[in-house]
Amino acid sequence: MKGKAILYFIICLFVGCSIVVLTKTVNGQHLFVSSKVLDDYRITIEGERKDIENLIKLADESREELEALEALKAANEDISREVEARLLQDLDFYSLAGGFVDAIGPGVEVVIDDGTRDLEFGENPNDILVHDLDLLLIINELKDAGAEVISVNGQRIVDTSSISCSGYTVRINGQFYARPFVIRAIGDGSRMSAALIGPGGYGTVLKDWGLIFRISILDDIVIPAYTEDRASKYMTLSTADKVKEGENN
Amino acid sequence: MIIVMLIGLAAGIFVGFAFDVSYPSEYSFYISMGLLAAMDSLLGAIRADMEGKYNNLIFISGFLTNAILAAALVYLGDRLGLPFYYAVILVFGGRLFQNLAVIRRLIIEKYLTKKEKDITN
Repeated sequence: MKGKAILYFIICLFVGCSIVVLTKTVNGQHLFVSSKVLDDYRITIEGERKDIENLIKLADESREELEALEALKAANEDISREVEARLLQDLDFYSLAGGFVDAIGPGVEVVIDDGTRDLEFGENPNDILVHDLDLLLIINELKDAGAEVISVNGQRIVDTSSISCSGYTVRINGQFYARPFVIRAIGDGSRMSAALIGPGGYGTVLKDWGLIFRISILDDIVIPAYTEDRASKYMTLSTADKVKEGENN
Repeated sequence: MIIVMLIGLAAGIFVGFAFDVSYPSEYSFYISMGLLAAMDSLLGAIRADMEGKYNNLIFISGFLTNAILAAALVYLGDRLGLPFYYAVILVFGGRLFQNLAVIRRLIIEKYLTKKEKDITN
């Protein structure tokens, strides 16, 4: 009899306590979430987690580098050689990325030319001409598919490159070019060609319009350096205390 | 017995308010399932008591196994992305009403039949 009363008391205590705790925490907010929303959140969280991991890895790498240099310094060795090697390595990378030297590597060569089919009655001839927009879209697709360096008719596409229409020619980096257009890109050749000639790819669209579009995967593609003038007039280096990251984007 | 239960409820509510218990919101399902299991066991115990079949061991073991199974189902559903907690809610909720109905009948029988006897006598 006594044990029964105690058990009843304990269970009632639990019921009352959990009711209060639940109402206090839930606070009228809805708790039931559909599994789709949960899944979306999970994907977002995983992405963020991966970002964090990458950042931590980056920080670790930088720390290791710093430690190695500091260890050399502490050992009172001459670190100038080490630093110089590192700087030269950096220089190679930046000159490649900036387009100051020729680049060579495997990739794709895309040839686009005006169509040769007969126009239908009343059809606009523009339908079978290559336009600046076609070139821009193809370059974007190539970059999306992992292209590292791109040139159009021998003009290296760098950060300040522009492609614009000028009548029957196309202006690339300030120089005028006429058909045919040869786009070379260094990167994963099969991936880039798949992106262009796969279903819905832009190459297929151009072919459907009647233009000539050829793509070939090559082993040794040479992309020349950027030769135009690229002196900067307006931009200067910004220091860390002038601009805070992520606050004025 | 009713007095003991009321005191227990009041004490629980007091404890809930007095101590600022907080828990991660992902555990709220487990707590609600525990609450359902407790209410189910409580009503089942009252019913068994009124039927004269009450047993301490059955009461406490029933509560514990029910709570554990409910928690396991919720956890499994969480892992699989399936709403298994529906099963817990439906079963416990259904049993709550069933037990309540039996208790109601027992009370009515106990008091109303007595009264009728009184009238007839």
